[in-house]
Amino acid sequence: MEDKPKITLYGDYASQPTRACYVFLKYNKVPFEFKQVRVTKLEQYSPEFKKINPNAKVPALTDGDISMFESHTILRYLHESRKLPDHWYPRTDFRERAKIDEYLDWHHNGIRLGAGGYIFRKYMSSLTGKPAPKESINESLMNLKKSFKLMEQYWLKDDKQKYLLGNELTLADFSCASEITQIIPSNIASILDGYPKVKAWFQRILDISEFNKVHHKAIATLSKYFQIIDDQGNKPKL
Amino acid sequence: MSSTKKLIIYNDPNSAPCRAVVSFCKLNNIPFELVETSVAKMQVFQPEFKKINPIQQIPAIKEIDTQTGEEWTLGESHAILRYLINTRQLPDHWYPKEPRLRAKVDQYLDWHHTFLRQGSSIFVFMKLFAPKLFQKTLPEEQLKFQFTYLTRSLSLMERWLAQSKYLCGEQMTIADISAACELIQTKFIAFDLAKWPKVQAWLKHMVEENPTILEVHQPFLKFASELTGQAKL
Repeated sequence: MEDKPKITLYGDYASQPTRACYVFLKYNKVPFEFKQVRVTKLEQYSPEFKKINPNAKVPALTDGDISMFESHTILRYLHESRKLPDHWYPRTDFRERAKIDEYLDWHHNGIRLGAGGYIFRKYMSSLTGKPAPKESINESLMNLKKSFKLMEQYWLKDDKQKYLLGNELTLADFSCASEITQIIPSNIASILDGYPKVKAWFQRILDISEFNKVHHKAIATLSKYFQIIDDQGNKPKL
Repeated sequence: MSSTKKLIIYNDPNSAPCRAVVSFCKLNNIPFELVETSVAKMQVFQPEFKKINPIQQIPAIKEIDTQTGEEWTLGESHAILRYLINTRQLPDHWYPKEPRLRAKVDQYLDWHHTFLRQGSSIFVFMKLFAPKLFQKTLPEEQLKFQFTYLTRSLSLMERWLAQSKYLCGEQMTIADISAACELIQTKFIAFDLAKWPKVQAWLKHMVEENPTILEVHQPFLKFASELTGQAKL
């Protein structure tokens, strides 16, 4: 028995892709160590972290002597190297696998562009000293609605389907749901009501205890912060 | 199995991800038919195309079983490349099976969407095609911001190419094809790659010295050269 797990995940609970990897490891009971890299303190730019990920983004993963970044790469690698159940990312049904890849590739400039873009522009951009203009916040909202609509019409079109790519969990589910989490404490949470299939699917993922534990914490933390910004926005002008 | 399957690629030669898929098929002698699907003519938004790819982007593929007539479709260039490798008997170097080597290629392919693609296709569109084709000039500040994706991407690529001949190791992978088809477009925005000498040499090797990839690029090079009045390469 090894004292220490070989795998170290570097990241921040406030990061959607970090949470996707974290929940995936927990759900599959893969032993790992978690090292916090606080993005609010810009720790991802530290020389030590840049040795692990020269791209200076979270999450990153080390496994013995190798390191890698990009959450979807981490998920694929863990699945293959830890021989995790086939349903996550089928090894012989290449068409099923391809449809998961199609989602994972769309994700970056699909749901992440909309959800992550909205939250960044609306709530975080002022921290950088350059608050995003209203038009660009609206542009992100349009992107998010477009992504939800596509999810309703494509991935979740079959009413009886439990998850994004069928009736079993795949790599796509935690990744996508992690992006949606940040919408819940925001001022646009109610738009989910317009997309009932997305809402029902998200609730199903939120009911998974490994996912719930981490994401409830994230929602609570974000909620406090978003409230402050929303209150400021609602203050009447003097 | 694949011998009874006909492959159709929905293609626009001005799209970098399309050129990557077509180049890959040609390099591997995978037979295919092209269906021209122009982005500029908004063909991706037509209802017939939406049935092929609900995401409404190109490239997309359709596989038709010539015996049963059964059809199957797929979008996203990297998903298509991975699928072709999984279903055709192709050399392992394109996308190694060994998990550590594969992770290097996946890492590039996943990074690509939010870095090189932003710095290359999206930036070139904003800087060159939007004003020339749609008379739309974007604010200087937005262009400046988008440009940082290009320089940041190139710095990381230079670092990778200092470690090995290709982006993910000593052999060419699908990462190199995808990246080269993106980066070649920056030739048309008066952008000098000389600050990234390893990337510059690699790109020359990937496109100008690779007759198959160069041939796939001819229609785009002609289009961009006519639009800018600049030499093709």
